[in-house]
Amino acid sequence: VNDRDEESRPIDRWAEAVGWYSTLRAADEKDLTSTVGRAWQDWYADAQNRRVFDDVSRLLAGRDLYRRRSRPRKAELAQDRYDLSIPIAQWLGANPKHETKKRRSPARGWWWLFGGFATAILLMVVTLSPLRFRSNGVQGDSIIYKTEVGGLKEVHLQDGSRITLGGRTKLLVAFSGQRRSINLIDGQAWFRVVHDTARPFIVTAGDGTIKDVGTAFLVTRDSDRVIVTVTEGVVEVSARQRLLISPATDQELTPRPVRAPIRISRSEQLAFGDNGAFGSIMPTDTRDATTWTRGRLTFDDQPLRYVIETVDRYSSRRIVVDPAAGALRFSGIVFADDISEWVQSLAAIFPVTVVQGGAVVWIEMRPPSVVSR
Amino acid sequence: MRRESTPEQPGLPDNSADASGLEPERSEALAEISRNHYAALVRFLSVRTGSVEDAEEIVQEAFAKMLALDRPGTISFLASYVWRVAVNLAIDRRRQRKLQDQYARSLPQAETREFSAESTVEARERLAIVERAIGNLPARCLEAFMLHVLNGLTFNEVSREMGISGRMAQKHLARALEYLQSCLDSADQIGSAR
Repeated sequence: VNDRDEESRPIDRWAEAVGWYSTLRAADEKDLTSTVGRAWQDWYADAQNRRVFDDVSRLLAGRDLYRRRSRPRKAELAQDRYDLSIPIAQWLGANPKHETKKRRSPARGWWWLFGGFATAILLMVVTLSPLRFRSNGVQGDSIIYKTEVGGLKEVHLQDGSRITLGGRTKLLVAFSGQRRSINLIDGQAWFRVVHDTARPFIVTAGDGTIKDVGTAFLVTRDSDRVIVTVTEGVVEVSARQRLLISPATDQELTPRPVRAPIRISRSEQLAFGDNGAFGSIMPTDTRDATTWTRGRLTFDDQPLRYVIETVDRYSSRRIVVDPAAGALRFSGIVFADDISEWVQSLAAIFPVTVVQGGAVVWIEMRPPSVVSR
Repeated sequence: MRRESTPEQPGLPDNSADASGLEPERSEALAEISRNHYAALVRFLSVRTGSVEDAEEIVQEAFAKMLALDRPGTISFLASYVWRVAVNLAIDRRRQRKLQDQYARSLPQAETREFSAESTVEARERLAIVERAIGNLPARCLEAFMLHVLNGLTFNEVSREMGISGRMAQKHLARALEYLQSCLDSADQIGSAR
């Protein structure tokens, strides 16, 4: 196919926009200001490109609001006669029977919106105060550490503290004279902290901050929650505070805590969700909590979707679980070097089907079987 | 249905050099940078941070820093300076935000409270239109959309999963998004015709 001849067709503009969108999201920070950023600026300077890209980014910005769906059935895929040559709207017009398929209204999405509205009112109140918010920004040097799928990494920090990173984990370390800040962006990490009263060691994950009081602790950042497990000493967990900067002096103000910090001690565990909900402190076996550093993933009565999120950090193939199956609860040990075996075995313990795709393994709720009479 | 408004230009000095205390050359340079880079920067950062509001705040802060430079240098230096500063500021905010939070920040601020109810309805309608449109996607386009958008797979992974090339995976998604947008656009037209 000759690319040049097609360049004027709108669909190629859309495909380019889609490609750029994913490139921008995935690019390393350093490339954003140089190679990638410049090339994108040139492309975006074109008025038509700009219009399409803006549409694409608005649609994809809603990704978290869209309802999770089950994967199209094999039969549906096989029967799909749409060949991309004309826009879908046009094709549906010529094949109207496709459109008669009714799907459930997005009930879940509405609830989110109501929640959003409540938060909106809350934020309005907040914005009335004459303070400027700034995210937990650290000006000095910061270093990003990350691991690939299945990779474990031990990091020795300049203050003598040590961090073990789990698979597909990313964290940012920023030390200043006043504090040692870590932002756990994704994945799981075990922190063994050298205590220093003058420079608190603060881990931010999701919407919470974890402050050490001389200790070792684990933090897991799942897609919508954070789990803190203390293996030694005590930590304080509080809802995340943004830095408040006074507009008059440009100095940092001491923020009023949203709620009192929660202290967790050795052999205790606390989970908090991105919706601001804190669980209660649960007793936990510290040996179980650290087994992942030795290649064994231990779970105790966890929803399967979180189990899969963790296992997926060690699996060469992506594992995708459908929402119904994700709600099943799992207890047990998964060996990081034997994941495909474990995934297969799920079909024996749960009412699920394990479908092997090319790059992905799907775990789906088995359709209710026909009862034999 | 209203579209997201174009980002406002920051209060940059125009040609009134006396009032701003800047040399005309410099204010022209700043105006040019603002004209050529402001909207692009906001869009660029909104992709990274997931929020237009965050992006605007960051860009305004970056422009403020640029304005504060003692010796500004050439236009191309200033342009790359403002991009660099903005990207650095954005790194701090890269954390995924709660989606309620994200949605809340897309609403107008406190002084225009009466409009927020209206835009909630708009956002809700918009979402309902997109949801319905997703339900109408042909199976393979739906699969590409699900894998890439809802499950976060890369195009490489999508292409392996669907047994097609990366370029084709991209095209499936492109057709899907083009369709979703066309549904929104035609709803806009019906809305304005009423």
